[in-house]
Amino acid sequence: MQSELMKETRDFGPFGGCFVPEMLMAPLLELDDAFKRAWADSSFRKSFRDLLASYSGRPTPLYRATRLEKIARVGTVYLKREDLNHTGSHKINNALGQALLAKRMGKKRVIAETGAGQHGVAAATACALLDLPCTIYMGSTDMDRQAPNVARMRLLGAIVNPVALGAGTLKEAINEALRDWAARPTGTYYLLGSALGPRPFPTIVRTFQSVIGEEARAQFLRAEGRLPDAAVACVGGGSNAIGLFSAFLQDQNVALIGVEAGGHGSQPGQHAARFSGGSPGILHGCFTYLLQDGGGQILPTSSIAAGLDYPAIGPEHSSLFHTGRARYTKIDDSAALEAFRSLCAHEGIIPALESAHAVAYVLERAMQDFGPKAHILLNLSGRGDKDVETLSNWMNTTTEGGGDP
Amino acid sequence: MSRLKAAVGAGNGLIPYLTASDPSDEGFLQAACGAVQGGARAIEIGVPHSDPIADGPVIQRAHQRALKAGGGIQRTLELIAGLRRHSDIPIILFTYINPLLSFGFERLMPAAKAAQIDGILILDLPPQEMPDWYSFVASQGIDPIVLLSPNTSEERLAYLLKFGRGFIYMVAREGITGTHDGAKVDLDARVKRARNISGLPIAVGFGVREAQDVRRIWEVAEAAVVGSALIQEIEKHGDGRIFQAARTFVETLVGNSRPEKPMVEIDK
Repeated sequence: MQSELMKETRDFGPFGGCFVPEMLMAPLLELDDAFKRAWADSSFRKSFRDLLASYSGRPTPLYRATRLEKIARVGTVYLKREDLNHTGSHKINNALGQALLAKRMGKKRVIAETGAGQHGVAAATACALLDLPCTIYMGSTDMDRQAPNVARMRLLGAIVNPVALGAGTLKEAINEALRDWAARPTGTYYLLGSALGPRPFPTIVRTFQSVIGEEARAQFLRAEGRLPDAAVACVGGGSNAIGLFSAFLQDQNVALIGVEAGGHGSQPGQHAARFSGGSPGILHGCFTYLLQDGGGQILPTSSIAAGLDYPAIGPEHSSLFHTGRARYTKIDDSAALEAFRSLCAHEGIIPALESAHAVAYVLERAMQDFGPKAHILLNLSGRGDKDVETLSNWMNTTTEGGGDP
Repeated sequence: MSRLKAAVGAGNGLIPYLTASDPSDEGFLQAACGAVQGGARAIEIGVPHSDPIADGPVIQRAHQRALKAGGGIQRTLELIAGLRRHSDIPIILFTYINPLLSFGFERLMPAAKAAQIDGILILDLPPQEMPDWYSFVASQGIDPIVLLSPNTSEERLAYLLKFGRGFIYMVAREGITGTHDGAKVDLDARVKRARNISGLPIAVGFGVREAQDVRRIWEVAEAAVVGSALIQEIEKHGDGRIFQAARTFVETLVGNSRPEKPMVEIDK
């Protein structure tokens, strides 16, 4: 039957679709229609762009990381500084776009899920700005490891509902958000944070995040007079990556590299590398690569980065993998932590642990994959203030005497 | 006419829902036999899943217990085959799509036919995503069941009903299973709209807790579905008493509307 599904054409090659219980069909159809109308309306696009500029501080800089590129032994490494957005990550792009859409649709209440808390903070922020009551579902494990973000969401006026079921991470948070939406679909807007889930979410999120790639492509051309050899991003659900990749899909000479969470091992349950350990299936409404056992049950995942700790990948990434247009690789916890420390020490930038996976790829493998003269564009999707405690704990256990790195 | 359509179509029916392997394989079989003995008209058997997004806390717990007990699609089919030694009651396989995807349709159909499964409802497979599936299942002599929600539009209602066989599963209120706070929607009018389009009998579920709820549904539809309330009842009892607990609860809901002739003969 998987092979049957592979034969059909959906949103992204055979991947995507809208595999949801009937209770969710009406709100999804309504959303699909509302989004298409909004995006076709120049005044909507203008209010979105105005907010990105005046409220979030776009365009974000493209910064040449000269010390990092020496360590990586490549030609150039440019960081697209999504961490410099208001709220500290790329998530605000999508949150502002969808909150504007919620307002336009006349919705009275917004719900959202969050893993690392970056989307939760962005959603809470956008809702505070646009005067929308906001409820965030967050796994209880994630609430413990990303406590600063929980406090931020509450300060911003959002209700944060812990989800204690299962592993208490992003997957369970999405389950609960979908249940909430099914219970009160009429007045509620579900502000999904990544390029995953049922139609139309992957397209909506990609559209609002494509500003990353559009800016970065133009900025790179201005800086180097050419396009990069590779564009690199970490991939949890995949919104920062698809936002970056979308501008380069036609540029066949630009390699697209997605970096998944290798966790602490290659056994089931030890990582979140969907393309090396997974197979196509359906979770959260879309047909995509996911980590599952032989009976079609979803496997637990593990990553030091809460935002990558998710068993499925956005369906457009499955399509890019399938066609070979993008390449996906994995970085394990310890390499991500090393890269985190390296970027702090050598560039004075504290990255999110999620983004540190992409940094680790550039440090460890870009040279062998693209050669010593390669030009690399790296999406620094978020800042790591939220992760400082995790890193301190790790340094205490791994660095004898706590010497300088 | 299919067995399932005839059974539900007889009216004043109760369809209990149970998750296979909950709380154990033996416990599930006891609950199923108890429900049958208590006067169930048909029975819905859920395939355990790690992420049952349309289910509330009670049925989520059932899924987790079932998975812990080794449940899954393979075991569900085996348990149904086991149940068939005790009863010929119409059985509906109630499932999320991913366990079936992984099992494979080529394997599912012969197994489902061997276990004499009467109907299949895949909660998260709307017909537009895979229209051929519905005709394929029907061509195998099994009824594909469609589910209608209070927020299903008129246009979509007509579309969905083209795919359904056996009976129509109508959700009484917005939300997930076991909820009471979803918006109340005029059930009468919705049933009438469905009857204008389809000749299938109608079963109504979500939020059925007591005999009174069942009576109210019987005023407009052929059958009521009970899930969370039954599972909560079973949760209160240890392994040895599940049969009796399920039987008594179903009897209470059905009241004295049980058919004269017992539909099963079992030795429990």
